Amino acid sequence: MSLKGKKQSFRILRGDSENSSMEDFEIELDEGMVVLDCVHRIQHEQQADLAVRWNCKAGKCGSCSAEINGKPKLMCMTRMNDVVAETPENIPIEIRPMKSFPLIKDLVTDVSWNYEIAQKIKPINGPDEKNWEFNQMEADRVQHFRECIECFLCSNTCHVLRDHDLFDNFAGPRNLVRLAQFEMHPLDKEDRIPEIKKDFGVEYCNITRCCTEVCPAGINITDDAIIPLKERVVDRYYDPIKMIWRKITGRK
Amino acid sequence: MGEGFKLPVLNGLGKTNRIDNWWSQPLIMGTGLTITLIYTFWRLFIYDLEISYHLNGSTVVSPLFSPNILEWELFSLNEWAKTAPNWINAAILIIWIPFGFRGTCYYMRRVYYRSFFASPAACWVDEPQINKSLGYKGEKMVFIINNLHRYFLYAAIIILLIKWWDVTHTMHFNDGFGISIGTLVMGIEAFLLSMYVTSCHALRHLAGGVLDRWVSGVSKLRGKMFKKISIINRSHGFWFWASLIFVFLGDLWVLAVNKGYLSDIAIFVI
Ligand code: SF4
Ligand code: SF4
Ligand code: FES
Ligand code: FES
Repeated sequence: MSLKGKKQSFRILRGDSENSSMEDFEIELDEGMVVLDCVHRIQHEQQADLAVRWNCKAGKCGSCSAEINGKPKLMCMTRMNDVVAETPENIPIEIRPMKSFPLIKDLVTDVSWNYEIAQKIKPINGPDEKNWEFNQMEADRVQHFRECIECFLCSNTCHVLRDHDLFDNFAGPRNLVRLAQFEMHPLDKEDRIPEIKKDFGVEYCNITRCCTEVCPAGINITDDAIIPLKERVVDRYYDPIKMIWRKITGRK
Repeated sequence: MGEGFKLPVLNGLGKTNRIDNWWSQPLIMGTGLTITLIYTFWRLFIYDLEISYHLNGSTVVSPLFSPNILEWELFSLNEWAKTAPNWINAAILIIWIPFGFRGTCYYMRRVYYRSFFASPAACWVDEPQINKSLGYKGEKMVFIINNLHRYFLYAAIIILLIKWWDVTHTMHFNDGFGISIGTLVMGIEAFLLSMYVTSCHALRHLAGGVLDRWVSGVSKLRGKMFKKISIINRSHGFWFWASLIFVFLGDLWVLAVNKGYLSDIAIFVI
């Protein structure tokens, strides 16, 4: 299906914390556009003050997160072909900012909560001499987590934050990924299990896997980060045999 | 924290800005689970006859009732079975193992939180008001039992080994060793269950995930196991459904043979 010359209507959220509403726009499409191109075209042709955050247009900076037809996505990586195909002919494509974070203006939200939580995580604490060596197998597991681009689509998606507003009790999937990355680091000596349970609230996650579905970096958040952390919490707090074993041997 | 004006999330069960058929997956999975529950109940408590059949000296037991511990000489279980109340059957005695194992499985938890608790029914779809007014606690309160998944895993491994042993019972014919359709049915069931068990998240953790370093000797071996399990762990959900469905197909097969709708044959005997 060629999109060239097709007239397409959009309904985009405009406004700030004082008042906001959905506004309609129409533009002519070109071949090969992504959603971010359309937002830019609207900005260029009709609404110079339409606020949108972006940087790389290559799915690498994580700044262009928004909700397209109700699904959180990177605008720069979402092809118009796909969006037009899923939208019925007579209704506009809807674009909203992420709903779990405070609105600044139009499509831009304030994601600083994520950074505040990140600052509470103890950094890696490895051996003093700096010639760290570990093997590839050990590296692979934690390397995978470094592909995160901090788009916060996962935390925006997570129902613990989105529907239940537990921002004070739960760190959100992005920061659980960071915790997993540090906790499983082959040379790290820090013990973060008590915080992972109490302060970062891993038990609030009910492994329904929406964060994994949405991650544009393809990180298997639930399977590779959260479930292994939950298993480590079980080792420490719920497994009776391990608890007895620790009492007897006096080891952690 | 996280304060400031936010766009309202649409409130109420099923409210969303999504325009696709988000409800189809939770609906299908919820229906599937409900059917298996009802069927299991019927088979265990209402109609527990025709759970196995014999073919020329071999025994084929329905996967739902395997291992049929009431036929064991161990601990004189077979003697006890004669005096036991007659609502007792093999499945009633061991069902807590597969039930507990599947019920605390990380994949199954996803399915039931979504389908039965709508917590959430699908991503970016709002939850029913009651979920919010009850105060969401995640996997605490009653769900704390889920933390014992690994113990159910240990028990399931034992059951699995016995199931393979039961498969060998389908291969002893009066006139030699062979394979019947019943062998295939039970063999496939045991295979699917093996895949389901070995792709388990808790096993992945216990095998190697628990360690931070896989340097040499045993720990390196455990690292390799972790890597291997990680590969099949990706399709844990598939193995969950495949093994579950096959238990019931196997049971239907045994029922059908008993009723004479279908008949088993020895494919070859040596
Ligand atoms: S799997 Fe856990 S962290 Fe991820 S979206 Fe679901 S509840 Fe949130
Ligand atoms: S884990 Fe994935 S979805 Fe979450 S912030 Fe990182 S890249 Fe984005
Ligand atoms: S603009 Fe960088 S990820 Fe979209
Ligand atoms: S996680 Fe599914 S069986 Fe263990």
